[in-house]
Amino acid sequence: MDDAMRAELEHRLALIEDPGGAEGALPPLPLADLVAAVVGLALITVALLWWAL
Amino acid sequence: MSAPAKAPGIAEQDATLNELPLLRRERIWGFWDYSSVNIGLAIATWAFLQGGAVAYYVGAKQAIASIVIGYGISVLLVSLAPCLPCGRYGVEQFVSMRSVLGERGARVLMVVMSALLAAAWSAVLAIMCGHALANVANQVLGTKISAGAGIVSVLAVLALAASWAIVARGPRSIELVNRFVAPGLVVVTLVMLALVLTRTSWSELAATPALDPWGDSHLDFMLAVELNIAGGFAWWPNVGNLARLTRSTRSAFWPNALGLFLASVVAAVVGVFAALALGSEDPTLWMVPLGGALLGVLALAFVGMANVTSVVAQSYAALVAIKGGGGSAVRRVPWSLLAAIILAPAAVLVFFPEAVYDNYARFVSWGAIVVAPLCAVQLVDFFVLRRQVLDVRALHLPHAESRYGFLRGWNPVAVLAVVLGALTYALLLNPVTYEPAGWFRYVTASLPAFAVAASVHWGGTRLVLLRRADWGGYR
Repeated sequence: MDDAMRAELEHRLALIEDPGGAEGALPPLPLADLVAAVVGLALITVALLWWAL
Repeated sequence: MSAPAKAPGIAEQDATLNELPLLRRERIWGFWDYSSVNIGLAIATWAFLQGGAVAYYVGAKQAIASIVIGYGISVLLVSLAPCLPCGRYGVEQFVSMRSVLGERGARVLMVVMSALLAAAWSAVLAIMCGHALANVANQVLGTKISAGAGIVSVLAVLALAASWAIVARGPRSIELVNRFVAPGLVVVTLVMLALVLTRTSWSELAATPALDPWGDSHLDFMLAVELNIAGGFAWWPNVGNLARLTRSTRSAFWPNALGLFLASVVAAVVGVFAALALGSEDPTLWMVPLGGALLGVLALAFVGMANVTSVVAQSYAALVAIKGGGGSAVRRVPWSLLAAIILAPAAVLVFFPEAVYDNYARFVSWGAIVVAPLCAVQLVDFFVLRRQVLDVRALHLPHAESRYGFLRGWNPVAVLAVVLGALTYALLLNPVTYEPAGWFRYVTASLPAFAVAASVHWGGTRLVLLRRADWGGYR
């Protein structure tokens, strides 16, 4: 990694790691979203197996 | 602590074109932006070809079930990993894999995935584009170009050149192209569906037998499910670097349900119906019989263009990966030149159109052998072992200085998990002959490969790597 790139990386990491800043990690996906996706897929799977087999 | 001001003289880097972590203000895609890119990626002729391949094994009803179930499972898994780690932290996909495989392990993975799989898929798409344009010429100009003719390869090279021209301009051009192409593709797909159903009733379709089944209906259904699970896993190398550009984790997750899942399912189902109704698995041979000369030619031309958008999206993902993991020498290569280098192997493969085009199911299977275990170890690592917390600084440090250094830049536990997962797959479904073993009919091949890799990575990490803090930073 060249010097300019390393400096840019350092600048970005400082912004990302700043606890009072607005550039940190996004919040995790809400658990309800994951549950909705899994339950929805399970229901569709059961219904389709009943219909097609 | 406040962030330091940028050092004077340092040029602003466009991190969407390299592996630097993205800041929140640089995330350019909301829900609908990523959805349109996602739909553009999903509805290419490969989705139709997937449907054509499924029609080999099962009829219409079982095909619908196998497509929804197969894609549903694998798209959900790739939406979790790599989309969420990359979306949450804005890190490049193969950089995020350093926390799983180590710096060197992730670099090798990046080269294999980006160079081989991207080349293979770009070649398949470009050849299909060449087929489509050759069929347009046959209809409009009265030529008699066959599927293996040299002009098909030349047209495929032109498709790759057009892809290069777009991807060389960066992700904003991808977004712009897909904003127009994605809705058009949805229209073409729905028109094809209407034409199939106008020509053939549902009861006729449902009664039409599969094109070339094994003759054991349960085994044929499981082969169709496996083909679709593998088809969904094929998105794994591409989607992390696209999800990285989104502005929220919901925007990184749910558009996959619209694009990679729903759009793929609809296109693949249309593919099954057309293949059953017309008795051919080649999507470029369906359009004119279905839509007549004018509509068929228009649809063919549009689908040909859609293949270009898919090549563009996956080339962009591969480019970002290689920029990130290729070292300082690669980093100095201009973006447009690197794009040309990425597409060059595909430009060679397109001169063997029949060998590439006729082995679609095997391509999908070869990808799933590696990708199903990789997805498993990344998912277990990020969600279970690390509780969705990554150290972005450590991801970018050399392995000797990083908490993700493992053993000289390799995580032996993750490597072992991937190898055992791949072995499980190969024992259940021969990747060369596509012949299933006895247990395949109950469990498929991708799902046991996923389960084995996940279990080995979880167990091995807890038994070995958790003992020392410098072995991967798990404690």
